[in-house]
Amino acid sequence: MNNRRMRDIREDIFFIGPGFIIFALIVLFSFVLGIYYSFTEWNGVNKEALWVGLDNYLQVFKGDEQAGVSAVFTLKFTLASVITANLLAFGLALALTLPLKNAKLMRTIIFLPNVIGGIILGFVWRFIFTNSFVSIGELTGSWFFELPWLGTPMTGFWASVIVFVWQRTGYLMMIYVAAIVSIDDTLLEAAYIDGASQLHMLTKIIIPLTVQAITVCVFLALSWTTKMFDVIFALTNGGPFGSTETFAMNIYYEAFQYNNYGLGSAKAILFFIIVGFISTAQVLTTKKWEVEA
Amino acid sequence: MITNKYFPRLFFIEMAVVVIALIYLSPFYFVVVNSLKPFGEIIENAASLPSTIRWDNYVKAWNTVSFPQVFLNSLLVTSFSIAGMVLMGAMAAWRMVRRPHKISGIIFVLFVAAMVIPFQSVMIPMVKVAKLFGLLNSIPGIVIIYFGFGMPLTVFLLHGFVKSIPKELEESAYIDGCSTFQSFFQIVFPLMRTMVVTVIILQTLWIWNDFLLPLLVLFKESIRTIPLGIFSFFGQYLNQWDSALATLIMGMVPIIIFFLILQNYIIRGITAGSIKS
Amino acid sequence: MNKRLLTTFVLLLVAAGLLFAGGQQESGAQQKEAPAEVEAEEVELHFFQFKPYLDEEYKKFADDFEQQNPNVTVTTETIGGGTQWQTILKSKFAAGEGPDIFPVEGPSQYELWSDYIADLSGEPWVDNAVPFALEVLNIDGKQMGMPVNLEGYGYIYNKEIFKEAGVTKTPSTVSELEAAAKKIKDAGYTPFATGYSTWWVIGLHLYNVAFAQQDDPQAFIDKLNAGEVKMADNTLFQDLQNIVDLTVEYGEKNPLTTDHNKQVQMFANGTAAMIQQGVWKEVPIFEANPNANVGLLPIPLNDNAKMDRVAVGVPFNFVVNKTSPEPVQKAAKDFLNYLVNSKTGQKYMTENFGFIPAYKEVDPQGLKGVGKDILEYAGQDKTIPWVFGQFPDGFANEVSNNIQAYVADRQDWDKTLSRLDAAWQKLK
Repeated sequence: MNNRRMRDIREDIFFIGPGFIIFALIVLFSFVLGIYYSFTEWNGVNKEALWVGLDNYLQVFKGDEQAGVSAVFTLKFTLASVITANLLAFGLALALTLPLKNAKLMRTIIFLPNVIGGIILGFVWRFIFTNSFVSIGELTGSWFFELPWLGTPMTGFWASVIVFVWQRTGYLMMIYVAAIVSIDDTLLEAAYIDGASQLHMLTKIIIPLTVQAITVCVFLALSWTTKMFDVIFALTNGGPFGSTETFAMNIYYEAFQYNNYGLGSAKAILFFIIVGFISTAQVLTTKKWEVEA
Repeated sequence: MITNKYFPRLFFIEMAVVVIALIYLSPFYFVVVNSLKPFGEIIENAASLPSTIRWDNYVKAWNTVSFPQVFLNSLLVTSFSIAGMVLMGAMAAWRMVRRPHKISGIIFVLFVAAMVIPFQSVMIPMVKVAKLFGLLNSIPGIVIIYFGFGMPLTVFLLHGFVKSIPKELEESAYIDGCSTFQSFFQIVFPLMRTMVVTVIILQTLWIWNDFLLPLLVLFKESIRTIPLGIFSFFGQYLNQWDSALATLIMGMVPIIIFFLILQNYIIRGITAGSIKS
Repeated sequence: MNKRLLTTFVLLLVAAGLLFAGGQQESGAQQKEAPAEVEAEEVELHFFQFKPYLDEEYKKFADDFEQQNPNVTVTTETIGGGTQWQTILKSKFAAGEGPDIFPVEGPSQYELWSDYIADLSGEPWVDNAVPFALEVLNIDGKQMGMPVNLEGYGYIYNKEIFKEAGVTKTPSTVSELEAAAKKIKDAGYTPFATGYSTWWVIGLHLYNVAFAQQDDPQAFIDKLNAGEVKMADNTLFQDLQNIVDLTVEYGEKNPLTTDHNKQVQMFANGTAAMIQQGVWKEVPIFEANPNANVGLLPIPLNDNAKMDRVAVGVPFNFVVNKTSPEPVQKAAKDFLNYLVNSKTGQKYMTENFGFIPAYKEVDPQGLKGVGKDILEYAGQDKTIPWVFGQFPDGFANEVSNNIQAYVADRQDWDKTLSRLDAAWQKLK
């Protein structure tokens, strides 16, 4: 083995080693232990976990109605939230890169919701939906505020989307702002002088040049929504009748309330595989799109 | 962007944004207003303004959660976790982009895949692992755990960014006789700063507000963080909103200031043209 | 070369692991291997409880205990956060950091923790406890947990509104309750704030009544477990529909949007006359209105006279961790005994915690409307037990989901009961 190769390996270990080793010891190790539990029957407390092979996995497929409901909810929630949050964030980013008088203040305000943590945010919003919306509804008679918020599957769903969008738009917006500001002004000025329409500038210049930011934002939004737990846990607690239960909550209930830790782990592994698949597909498609653009 | 004239259309856009911003701000009204009311008044009417402004909740919350202590703990945990994960993440991301090979490719896939793991599904094994390595119940311990859980997103974001940094700078540095280490720390790392700031903001928000992980690994009262302090006011049958909201606001203020400072940095960094897509 | 790299990584992993594990073993050894059998040896007692609003009071009590037992240091840990305390307890035990004293709510939870629970049969407080309170965790003739207090629930009602609406006799059957609700509605108030969006309001407390009103609740549960009876075939479970319908008809506009916080709010500000809640909600009610004039009504299912009974039970038992070292277990038992069996402890229970003690000859002090009514019902022997501690894990969730679906008109009552029968069989 020659010196250059030795040096390369040493450098690999120096640069990648520390981060990866800690990550592997903490996260991967835990995950592997979790895989082991998914093959056992364990209540999360007993000293011994009983090996049951593939039973837990079979049980999930044999018909776990509520798991199905929560999977569908998660999917719908993910679609609605990722699209809404990204469109709104992009729109706001476009507006806030214009020479507005209060752009900086507005950016800060829209970012503000990010500073409140998940569970307490859910509690605060629960309070707003069940109290303030009712008061506003009585005052104005507006149908929107008079809806039975959190009381029906439909309102529970949209309430979850609203809270997610409210919380996360600001962050996505910051990434879009960064990308839009970095577009070379001369390109836009040239197009402007050529008499290009606003729409044309948006679709032919701005979007193609911010496609990297779009990939990142969609990926971030995906990883937040698919794993959604604490906000909805506090906001609806899955109700009414389990219609707003996310898959992460289903796993949590299975493991910690129904005390089937093994079955919960099996669901978590399946969930991991599915979401991993979706995310990979997303990254690959937008990557392709990046190349084409 | 194109013209600086404040023509009527801009004015309407501004109005629209102001309206949206007000909507965004409205939930904070409830948080602030109720943090100034006695418990009974919150229960009676949580939407109204306080009858008189009272700071009792803040005083009480400050004392019962020993705010200076939990604040210091949160500060230590957050800053050390962020510093470590950003440094290690930047090193790994840069190396993976510049010297790709099969193994580092696999490692990168592992990092990205781990972003998909819901925390709830690894939490019990994680506690066992933390126990095995002696990471329970200490601030250095939780910092190391955060390194582990924070690496994936850090590497993912920086990995994408390093690709957009032109190689030429490093190459000329090598020609000038710089070692790999020198070229990373002196040339590349400073160039990554806009994305590093982004990562710092994102991860700070997560760690500062994180509840479940510290709850699982920090048992001693003397090392509790702010979210644990807030949740000490919540029970199954009874929530003490008065103290909880006051603690929430006291915990929010430092992070808002932090964001304002970093936001300037991002905007300045960007307009100085250090980011190129 | 790739192989080499891999080997290096693996070696590093192992080395790091050994390093951490080694350091950890040392510190572990220091904690555990205290020399046994030494007089007044230093003991660290780890006490875990789940009522956040009592955190300070328990700490004061622990200080008192420490003064009596200078060799013991008590660490009081309070975890609230809704139902998360159980999750936290699990992870602590998983980490081998289980507390020495912790709460267990009922037989189902006992089963979960049975590997860790010490026998308390010979403890001095056993003779002083109210007999039915001991039954909850009396497992095969052994006393496995120590009850502390009694709690009761039903419909907390606003006496002023009842008077104003002209309801003179306190209703104890469904018909009487309906008549009262009608008068209250005519007087311009909302008779019920249902709180039906909170799972435990329905899943634990409301559903419990149909079990507890059975002639022999225990026998009914045993038969249910054996698959010999069905809830769908039982009159009381069928009658439960009456009270659900009644509360929804005379309740607030959107029952599934109201949670337990909103219930208290509507009750405290005088819009709602009744809420299905328990003595634990007196704290916020009196915070909002120190002069509130309140009492407690039973939850009737039909017009039978025996409906005039309120649900009184032991909300939790403290248990001692049998995997703790011997001297620590002894200190834990002393601590528990000091809580319920000493003048100081009893003073704490009644005055500082506001509890109704589960012990004979302890005078409850500082009880307010609801607490007083509970004592009165108990004095006349008009109580039904809490049996939801015997629901299989997760059953309360299913109850809540299914009754919510009924309230939302998604399914009829027969379907609700048959689905719950199926859920019981699956989860038991």
